[in-house]
Amino acid sequence: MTERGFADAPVQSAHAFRAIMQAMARPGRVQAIDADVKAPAPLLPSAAAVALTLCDFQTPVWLSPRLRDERIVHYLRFHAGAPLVAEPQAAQFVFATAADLPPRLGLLAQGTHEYPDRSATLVIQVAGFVPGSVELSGPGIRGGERFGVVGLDEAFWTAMAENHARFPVGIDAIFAAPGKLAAVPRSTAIRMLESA
Amino acid sequence: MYVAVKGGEQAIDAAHRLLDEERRGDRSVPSVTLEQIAGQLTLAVDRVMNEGSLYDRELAALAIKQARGDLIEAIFLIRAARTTLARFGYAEPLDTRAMRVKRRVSAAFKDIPGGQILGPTFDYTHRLLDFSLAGDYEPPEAARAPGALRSDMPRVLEMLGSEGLMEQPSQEAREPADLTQDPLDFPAGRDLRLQNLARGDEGFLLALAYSTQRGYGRTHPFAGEIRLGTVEVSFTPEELGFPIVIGAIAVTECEMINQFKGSATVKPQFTRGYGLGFGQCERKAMSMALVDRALRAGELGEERGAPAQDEEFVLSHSDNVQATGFVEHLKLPHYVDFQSELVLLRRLRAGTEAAKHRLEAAKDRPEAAE
Amino acid sequence: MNVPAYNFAYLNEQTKRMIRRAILKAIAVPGYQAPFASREMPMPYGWGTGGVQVTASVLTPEDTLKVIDQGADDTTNAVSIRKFFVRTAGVATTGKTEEASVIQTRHRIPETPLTEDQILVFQVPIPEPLRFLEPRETETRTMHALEEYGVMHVKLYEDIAQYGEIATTYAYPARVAERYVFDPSPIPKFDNPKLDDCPALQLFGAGREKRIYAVPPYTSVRSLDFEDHPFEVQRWDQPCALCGTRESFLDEIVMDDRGTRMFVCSDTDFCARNRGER
Repeated sequence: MTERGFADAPVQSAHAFRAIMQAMARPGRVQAIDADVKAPAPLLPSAAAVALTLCDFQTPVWLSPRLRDERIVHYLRFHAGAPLVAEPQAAQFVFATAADLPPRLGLLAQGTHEYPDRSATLVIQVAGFVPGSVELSGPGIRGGERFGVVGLDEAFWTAMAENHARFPVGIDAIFAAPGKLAAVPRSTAIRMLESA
Repeated sequence: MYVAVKGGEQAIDAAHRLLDEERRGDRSVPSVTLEQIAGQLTLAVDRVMNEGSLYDRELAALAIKQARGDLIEAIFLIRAARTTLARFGYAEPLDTRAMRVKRRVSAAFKDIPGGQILGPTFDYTHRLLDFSLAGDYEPPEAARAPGALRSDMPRVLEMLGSEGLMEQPSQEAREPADLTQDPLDFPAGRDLRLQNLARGDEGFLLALAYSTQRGYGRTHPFAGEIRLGTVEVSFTPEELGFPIVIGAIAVTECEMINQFKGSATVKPQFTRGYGLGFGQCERKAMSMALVDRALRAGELGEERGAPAQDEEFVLSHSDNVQATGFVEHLKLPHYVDFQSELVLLRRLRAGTEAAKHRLEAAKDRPEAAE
Repeated sequence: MNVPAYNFAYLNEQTKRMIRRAILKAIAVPGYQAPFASREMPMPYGWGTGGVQVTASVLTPEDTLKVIDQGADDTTNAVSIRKFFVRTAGVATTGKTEEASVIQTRHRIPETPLTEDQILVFQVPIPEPLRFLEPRETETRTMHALEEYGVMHVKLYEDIAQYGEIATTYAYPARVAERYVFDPSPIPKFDNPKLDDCPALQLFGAGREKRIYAVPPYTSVRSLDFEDHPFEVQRWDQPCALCGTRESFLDEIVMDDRGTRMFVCSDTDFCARNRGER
């Protein structure tokens, strides 16, 4: 049996989108997400809410190995109608866990300088947020924002800093934790902090 | 004392009530029915379905009534209604060869297999006002063909093609582009251009087509074949995996034969322009075919300079719902922008005035001008 | 005949997903015009269909919506759009800037400073700042890709040569986050400074032209100018005749046909508040 998606799609997706949009507009600021949605483990309800709010038959989706569970595949096909692709570079949305990220962010769809919007969004399932491994600055941030994600190491943030260096092309990352989410778009500059 | 105007809401409501009243007209005259519009103003209904991009005679009739006969307004109503409809997928390509033909003419050959079939046409009518229509005149029943027409009517362009005289249409096994799902993007493929033209304003297309005939992107056209009739629409539901017939629609198709083209390695061949629309819409289908051919200038290695050959110009301005909205939006208040211009213009004029005074003062005292 | 029932905020869910994806890209690339498959709305193109589609896609049932046109809540088009959302989304509405969580606007930014809890949605007629210098989309797209904005500076400098100052008074081009030159919609240049470092998220929707763009909160928006001709906003010799403020953009009211004029706040809510009438 497939877990139900949104019981009231117009309203629940509106709430979820508001949280996602605020996260993208205020990089590093953690937003609460009403994830009243059942999802087959290990897909987190917050990540499932992102998928149901943004993905459909027009958006190829790639799942990292840990998420490539038959029930999750069926769930996304049934509720979102999203085509699943075998190669991460063919995806508009890439769902992964902090433990099995796609090997190189630079290989995901980056968009072009004419169409920087034709790029991938990376949705990473994480355990939670901690302040202080990186300092974020740029559009959406007043001064600087100290930010950190459980399970994401310096190598990841280095890759994200390289991603920013490619602006305006590049990917945008959404971090989905239980009941919460945050985002770091390509416009955000990243500085490692000592403790990281 | 000035008091800022309030009451926009009441004004709007009152204006709309007046509109309703004007639409109704003289109450001693019966209200026009949708059956009358759908059954007797058929060509208006066809145009609204075409440019409204929705095949539904009843809704088109309603839109025409609601729009007081303003067809662009009716088209707009249909487009807005279309936005709310769920999309199930794409139908299989129409097979117009299997059309149940009502009219079919070719200007390229005197006689063609299957015959020239005039059908219901204004062509050759004398455009004299028919005062019998002012009353309750009932026309006699029209004569029907003694036998059934061929169900598989060969196409004129196919006959030329079998002799190698006609370029073959490109066959691509991909989903066609759809500008209702993705924003228009340049350069556009022919599929996207044809969709844009099919939804485009008949008057705009007519004028562009006419301009090609007058030398602005000449294409030497011959009306190879124009056919009108009904075709079946098939759809393949995901769960079935094979096509099923879901209905039949009336369409007009125009295949234009245009100037030939060849190269050192390819023998010269005629080229083609294509037009298709809902219902009976010959003017539209022919204009579409001419503009389609003109827009192929780049692909066929022709010089591009005329408006009808300019893809960005044609496709960006063909949609009358967009065009009427933006032209008519000038009715909306613009007083903030206008005030900005007023402030600037007054200051610039004051600056010019001051400069003039300085110049005149300098003239009076030549030594001071140094 | 079947009478259809409409979805929350009119648009169907698939359309909203498509618009929402475009909004996220627009936020991630500030000032870039993200294409979207704009739909026909039940009001004409040019009447704010882009803004309406953006608002419909960001609105939640708990929002309080304010709609202004030319700064006023009571102009006909503002009334019409507000009614549309009351009818299709059932949201609360307000005229008070500080009470609104979502503000849809045509041609003005409210005088009352916006906060982090607000979203400002602009209606945009022509999103491309380079359009009147280069009509071709393929060309302007390349110019943005190459960050080639010289033509815009030349245009502004020609103004200075001819008039002694930059003659653009509304839709004044600005640079977002030191990258994209953008058109802030036909707001008077008086409002341009409010775009800069604004706590609220600013979204721009162009329905007919099928583009969405954004200025995230706290983002630099620099109006184009020259060292010897710095950017300046409009000033009036007199205060608002109703509330007495010297801080707001003034509309000119023609009182008679003998040249009598009166100047009053374009932002009707701001003016009413100054007068203590609310």
